[in-house]
Amino acid sequence: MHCFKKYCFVISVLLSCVFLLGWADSWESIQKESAKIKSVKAHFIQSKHMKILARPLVSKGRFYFQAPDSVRWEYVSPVKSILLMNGDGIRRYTQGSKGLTEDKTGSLQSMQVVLKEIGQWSNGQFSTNEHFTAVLKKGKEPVIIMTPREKGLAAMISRIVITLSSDKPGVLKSVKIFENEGNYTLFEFSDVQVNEKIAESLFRDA
Amino acid sequence: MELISPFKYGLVMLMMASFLFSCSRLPVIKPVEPSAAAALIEQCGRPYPSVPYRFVHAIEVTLPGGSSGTLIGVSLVDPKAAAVQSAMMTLEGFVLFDGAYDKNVHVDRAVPPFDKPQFAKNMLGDVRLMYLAPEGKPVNAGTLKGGAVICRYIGNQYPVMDVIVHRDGSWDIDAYSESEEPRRRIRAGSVKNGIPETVELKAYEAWDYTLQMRLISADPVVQETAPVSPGRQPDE
Repeated sequence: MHCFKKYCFVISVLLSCVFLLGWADSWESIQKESAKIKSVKAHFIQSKHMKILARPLVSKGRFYFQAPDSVRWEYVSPVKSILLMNGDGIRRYTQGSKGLTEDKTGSLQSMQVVLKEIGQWSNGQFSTNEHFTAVLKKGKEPVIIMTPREKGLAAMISRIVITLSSDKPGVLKSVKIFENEGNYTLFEFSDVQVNEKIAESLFRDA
Repeated sequence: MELISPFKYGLVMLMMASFLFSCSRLPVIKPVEPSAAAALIEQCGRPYPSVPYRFVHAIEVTLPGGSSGTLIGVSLVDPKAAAVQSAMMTLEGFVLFDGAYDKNVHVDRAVPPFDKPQFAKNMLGDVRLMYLAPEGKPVNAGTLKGGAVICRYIGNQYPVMDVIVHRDGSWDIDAYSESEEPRRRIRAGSVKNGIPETVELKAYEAWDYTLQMRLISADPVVQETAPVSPGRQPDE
């Protein structure tokens, strides 16, 4: 489960990236804008690229965040699955042979550790993260490149590239997680809505 | 030394035979005329793709005690080369295992706890069992009580393998040890255009496990680097 724990850090990066909705000229401006974010709603398309696949494996879903630490990460296709994080902990429900059932493998418990990380990410504190070094590349489309500090994590994740929207300040465009040569996952966000009311039950009920 | 009478000897043999018969876990094959056997053997080839294929499945893994989780599995099968490549990833796309078999096991990527050699052997072995036809001819071919076609192979990946094709087009692949203990049971159902929509694999190991597989996509593999003919698309 150690690998999963490390992977959770990556997921936390991904989740936190959606929190990172501030227009990014500097780490200071990122922190300043991120502090204004209280809630996020978005659609996402996940494209898995690897050599064994002739074409990307596409998954679609929705993402919800409510400050300080409530998350709903929901896949609608090809496998319906809902990840819920709130003050009570973390749960995942997946559509299987017996309907929508809770994942009881226990592997998700390590995600609770990550919740503390999310607090840090949500404040836009990328440059001070203990697991990744972060480089901000300014330009038409600002890009943050994150590289693992630890050798063990680097063996699984070579880098993460976060792209912010150029024409919509405060909106994330994509997150690309590179695992190894020819193997990466691209998350593209759309219909991002910030600071709109989200029903509390969405973070509680599958 | 007292010699055993022919009557007693026959009785003992009969008892032994009936004991062995009662202990056998292998289904009883109803023989057919030799002239009909060839057609049955051909039917036993139905579970196996004849050309390279790529399968993507949602895989629900159930461990002892009933705990379960879902992963995505991708398998590339090349029947001519008797080779398979397989990857397993989380729903979020994180690759846990990527390996291949072409007479030997090769692991390109495996993260703990999926980095144990036995895991690679089992996983690639399960893919081979599902998609690569047993080598050689069956030692026996016939029908079962309900009318399903059965072919029995020995000396392949498992000492004994039964391929059973049912009347509704679904099939089973059962693998046994030398002592006829079940090792794997595969049930393929909801077959459309020769491809099963669902596959269940039960493994009988020190740690039993069950895989419930739901098909996401199945495509014949074309030479991805080959030039595309007019009017035809790759992976069409």
